Amino acid sequence: MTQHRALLVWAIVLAVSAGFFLLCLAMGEQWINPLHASGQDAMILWELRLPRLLTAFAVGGLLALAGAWFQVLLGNPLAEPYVLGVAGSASAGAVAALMWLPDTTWVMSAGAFVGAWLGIVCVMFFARSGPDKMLLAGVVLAAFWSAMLGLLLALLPEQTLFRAFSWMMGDVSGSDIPVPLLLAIWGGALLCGCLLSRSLDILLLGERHAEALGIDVQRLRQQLLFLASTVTALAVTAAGTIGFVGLVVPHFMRLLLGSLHHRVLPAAAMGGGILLMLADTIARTMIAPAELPVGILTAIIGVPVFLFLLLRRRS
Amino acid sequence: MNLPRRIILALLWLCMLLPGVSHAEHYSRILALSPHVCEMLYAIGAASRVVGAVSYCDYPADARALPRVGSYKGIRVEAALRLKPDLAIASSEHVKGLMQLKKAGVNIVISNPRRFEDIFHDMLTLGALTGHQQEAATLVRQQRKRLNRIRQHASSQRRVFYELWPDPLLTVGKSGFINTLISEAGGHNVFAHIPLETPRVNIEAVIKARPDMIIIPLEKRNIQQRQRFWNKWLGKQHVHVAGVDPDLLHRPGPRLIDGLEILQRILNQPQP
Repeated sequence: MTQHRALLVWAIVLAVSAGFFLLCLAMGEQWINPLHASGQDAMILWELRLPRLLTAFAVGGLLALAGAWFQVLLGNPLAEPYVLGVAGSASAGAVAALMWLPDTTWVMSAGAFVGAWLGIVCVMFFARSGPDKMLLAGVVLAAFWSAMLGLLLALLPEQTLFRAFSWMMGDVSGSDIPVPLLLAIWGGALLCGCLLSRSLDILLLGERHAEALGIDVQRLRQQLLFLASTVTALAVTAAGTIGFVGLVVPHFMRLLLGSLHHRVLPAAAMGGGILLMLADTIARTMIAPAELPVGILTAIIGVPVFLFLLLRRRS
Repeated sequence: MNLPRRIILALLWLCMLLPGVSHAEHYSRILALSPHVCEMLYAIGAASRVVGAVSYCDYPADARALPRVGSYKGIRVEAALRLKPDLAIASSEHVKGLMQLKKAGVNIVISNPRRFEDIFHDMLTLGALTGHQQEAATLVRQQRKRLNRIRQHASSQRRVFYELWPDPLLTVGKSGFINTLISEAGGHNVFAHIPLETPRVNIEAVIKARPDMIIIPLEKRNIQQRQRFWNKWLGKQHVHVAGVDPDLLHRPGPRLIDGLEILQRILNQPQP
């Protein structure tokens, strides 16, 4: 791909993002023009819609980044942020907090964060193993966490059960991580990703090649595992478990831009953000005034687009 | 159609509805598998016939001493059968374990009232099943009178947002039981047009719906905090937040009429 085309693609991505962002901001119970809003409209726009949109954007971006890293780390195209059980342990943590602590808004987030870290620590024991062992360990851990989650849900009192389920289905409207912090995390994650992108490209060639080219593969694996798990943990803490974004957005960007990571990672961070923003906007407007869970929409929008692209590439 | 024929037909119809009632014997070992059923049986004086209940059967206080045979998730069939029940009354056929009870020879009756008429009907049915027809009829008569009085005063027309749950924000839609209660009491549910039982909405939708009254079933919720929250979005002058005991409004049993009277009293308060 020439430098020219890359620039063009970037210009398009940015323009499309900005367009979608304004569109999503204007859409809701009623159309509000973001450029001419005052009084209560302004309050709705800046205090309700904007934080929610930005949360969706940051979380979507983080999930897509984590997905891209896990796919390289595990050498498996089916890998996604939740594959190693971090989402499961976070959910178990959130539900455990709901069960034993007073029910305030940040309790579930705190529980999710602690749970996610517990999951990360378990996974880190396998950082030095090869990708296959790591994946196997992760899948088994995920099964363990989902069993723990099942156990906690069975013991949870009826009144809080609904809250637990709604958290598990993913929700970007009530994040307890402040939006600026979330955006800073998004930026930080993207920066780390870009710094590692050359090593990631080489790792894709195979471990032997990477070692021959002077890369400390073990260390890279550890860093990558830590980074991807942390990012997943933060995304889950902010918005619960939202499927599909982390699996498909990285592949989508690879199909569009090739497999070099200095292109794929920024594009995934933007694309994941846009997808989740769009999905959340549709979730809150499609059957308005009622809302749908956002996790359903990410798949409904993403799958047809992805399959179409896959077919076109093959032919 | 002459009167005797009508009566005979009505009796035949009743016999078809209630298999087992035509037998002179009444059920004497009953499992009350839903809180409203338990409350109904106590209210018609059939408490001595109840041998087991499920975890949320907590009213009247005596009912708390009943052996528990399950929860909302399902019945523990062995524990239930050990009580040698002859009748189980549940709110749905799909309660886990109910069909096993049926296979073991326990008679099953379903009570899932959706309107006041259904509640009265079920009270009379339970009366017939337990031999407490008189008490049931008296109770229904009293409750009908109270309901009629409520209907005569149902004129507030306040726009109500029923905050079923704060996070995620849940309310009641068209097909919900509580929607009927709000209109019986004279209010107007601002989300009555949503064709779901408990739709999830967002703050923006509530702002647009312009409620002047927010009713909160108090489950560990702080009413002052909710008042502050809604003042911020809806304006201090415009909205009044009030709490009600969810057990009175969410259980289609004999106390629902109390809940409805409280709801109407709240709705009929003069607007500030």
